[in-house]
Amino acid sequence: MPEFVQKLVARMPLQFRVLYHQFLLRVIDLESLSIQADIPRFLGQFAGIFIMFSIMQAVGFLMALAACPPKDVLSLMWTTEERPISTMMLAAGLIAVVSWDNIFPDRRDAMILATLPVRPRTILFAKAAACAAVLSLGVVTLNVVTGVAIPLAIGGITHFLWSSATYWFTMIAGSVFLYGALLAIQGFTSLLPQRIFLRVSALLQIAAFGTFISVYFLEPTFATPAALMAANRQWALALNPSCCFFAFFNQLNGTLPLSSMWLAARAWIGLTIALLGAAAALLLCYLSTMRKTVEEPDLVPARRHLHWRLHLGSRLRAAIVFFGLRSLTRSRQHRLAFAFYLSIVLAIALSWLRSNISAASPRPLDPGVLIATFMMMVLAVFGLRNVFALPISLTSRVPISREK
Amino acid sequence: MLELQRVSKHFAGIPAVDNVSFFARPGEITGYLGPNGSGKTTTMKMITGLIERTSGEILLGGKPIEDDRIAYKRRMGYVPEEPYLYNHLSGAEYLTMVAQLRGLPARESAEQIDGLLHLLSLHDDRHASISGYSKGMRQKILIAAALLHNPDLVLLEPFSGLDVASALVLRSLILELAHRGKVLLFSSHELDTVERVSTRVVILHRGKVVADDSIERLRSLMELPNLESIFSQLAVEQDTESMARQIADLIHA
Repeated sequence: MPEFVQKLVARMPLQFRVLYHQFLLRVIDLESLSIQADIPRFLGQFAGIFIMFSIMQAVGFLMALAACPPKDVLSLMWTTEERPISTMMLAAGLIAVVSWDNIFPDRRDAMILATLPVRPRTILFAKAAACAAVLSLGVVTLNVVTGVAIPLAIGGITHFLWSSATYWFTMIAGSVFLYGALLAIQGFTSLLPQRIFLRVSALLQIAAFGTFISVYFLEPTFATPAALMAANRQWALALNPSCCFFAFFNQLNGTLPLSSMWLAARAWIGLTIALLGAAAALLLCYLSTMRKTVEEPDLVPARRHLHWRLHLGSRLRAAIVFFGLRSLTRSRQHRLAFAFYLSIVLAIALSWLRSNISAASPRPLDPGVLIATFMMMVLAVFGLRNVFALPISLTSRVPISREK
Repeated sequence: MLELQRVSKHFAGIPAVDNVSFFARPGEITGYLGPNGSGKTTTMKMITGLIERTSGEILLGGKPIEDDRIAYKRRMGYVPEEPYLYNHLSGAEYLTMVAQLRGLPARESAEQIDGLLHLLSLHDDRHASISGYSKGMRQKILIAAALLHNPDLVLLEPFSGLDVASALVLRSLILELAHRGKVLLFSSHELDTVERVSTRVVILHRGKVVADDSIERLRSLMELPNLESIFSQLAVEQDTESMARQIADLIHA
C-alpha cells in the first residue's frame, strides 16, 4: 500500500479501520465463489489476471500501431480507445456481480455489530471504502500497462500528462457509473419486503451477469467518426454505456466531433444519476435495512406449493434430480457458478452470432459453428456437473421456502 | 437495574410481545422463560436495541436506553442464541476485533482475551478459523465476546452444544457475576439450570407475562414442587403425554 494511503488510513478512527479490514476480507460474495474462499489470495489472483490482460492488450496495440499504415492510424486509435473502456466497464460490472449485496449489512453484520457501540454511519463508510478499494484494485490492475501505452500513443511525450489524466479519469468514471448504477438497483431492491427481495435480488444478479457478457460481445464497433455517426447505429450507441464513455474520453481530449457531443453528455448525466442513486440507496438502506434484516425471517413460508408432475423413473433418481434443481434455484453459490459456465457458452454463441450478423450475407453452417456448438454443449454439461458437485452449504441469506 | 415498562412489539399488527413489564436487579439472576414463540427472543432483541419496540420503555439505571445508545451498548453484553460470528476470522482475531470496536486498551484486552481463551479451553484452537469450530466452541466465543468489556448488564439466551464441564463452568460464572453486582437476564429452556441459578423468574406465554416472582414464592403460591411443574401449568397448553403417543402412532413405532 502506498505510504500516503497508509498515513490516511492511520488517521481514520479505530472502529472505521477495524471494520474496513473486516469488510475488505468479505467484500467478495463468498457464497458465490466458495464458502472457504481465501479472499487475500483470491484478490491477488484476480489482480494478476487483470495485469496480464493489460499487458496483452498494450502489447497487441503497440504491435498493431507499428504495423499500421498512416491512413489507418485514426481508425486503429478509435478502436484501441474504445475497447479498454468497454473491458473496464465489463470488469466493473463483474466486480459488482461477485460482491453483490455485500455493501449492505446482512443479518450477520446486524447481529454482530448492532450490539456493539458502533454507529451505523461508521459501518456504512467502512463498507463503502472496502468496495471502493476492490473496485480501485480492478481499475488500476486492468489499466496498469494500457494506462501508460495508450495515453503515450494518443498524446505523445508532450501531451502525455493530459491524455493520461483523461484516460484514467474516464476509466474511473466508467467503472463508478456501472458500479454505482448496480448499487442503486440493489439498494432500492433491498427496500422490498424480504420475501420478494431475496428472490428479485438473485434474479437481478444473474441478469446483470448475462447482460454484461452479452453487451460486451455484441456491442457495435466503429472505426471512424463517420461510422460513429452512422444513422442506423444511433440507437445502439445511445444505449451502450461504453460508447458514451468513449465519447466522454474524446470530449476530454478535445477530439470528439461536435455532432457527437450528445453521447458525451449522456455519459455525464448517467454518471451523475448513478452517483446520486447509489448515495440515496445507501442512505435509505442504512436507515431501514439493518433493523429490517434482524426483524424479518430469511426462512419465509411459501405462498403456494408447486406439485411436480414430472415422472423421472425410480424414486432415487427423482430425489437426486429434485435435490439438484432445488440447489440450483435456491443457492446463490450454485446459481452463480452455473452462470459462469453459461456465460462462456453465451460468449461463444454471441461471438458467432455477431460475425454472422455483420457478414454481408448469412454464412452457411460451417465446421466453426459445429465446433462452437459442440464446445457450448460440453461446457453446459461440464458446468452442470461441477455445480452439482459443489458441497451444499445453504446460509441464512438463501431464500428457502417451507410449507405453512 | 434493568426495567421494562409496558413493552410491546407487533409484527404486521400481530403482537409478539404484549405489554411486558418486569425488572432485573443488580446482584440477581432473573430467569426469563417461555415456550418457543412466546416472545423471549423478541424481548431480548428489543433490550439489546437490535429491533425497535412498538410501545413501552426500557430503562437501565433509570435512564431510557435511547438517550445514549452507544453508552448503553458499552454497558451491555449479549450472548445470542444463534451463533452469528465472522467465520473467516480465528477465535482470537474475532475477540480482538470486538475489543477494538469496543475501544478497549490493546495490551489489557490482549491479556484478557488470552486468559479467557485459556479458561474456556479454546487456547489451543485460538488461531483456527471459526468456520471449523463446533457449536459449543462458537458459544464460548460469544460468551467471551459478551464479557470482555466487563458489562453491567448481561443478557444470556439459551445455549446448547456446551459439554458438561463447560456448562457447569458457565452456571458458576453466572452466579459469580451476579455475586459481583451485575444485572443478569437469563433466558433458557433448561428449567433445571434456571431453577438452580435464578433468584426470580419471569414466565412469558403468548407474548404476555404470566408469572413474575421468586421461585420459592411461586412454588408455595401454586403448591407445586418445582419450576418444571409451574412452567407446565402456566405455559404449556398441550397434553404432552398424549402428543407423544400421537407421534409414536404416526410413525408406526
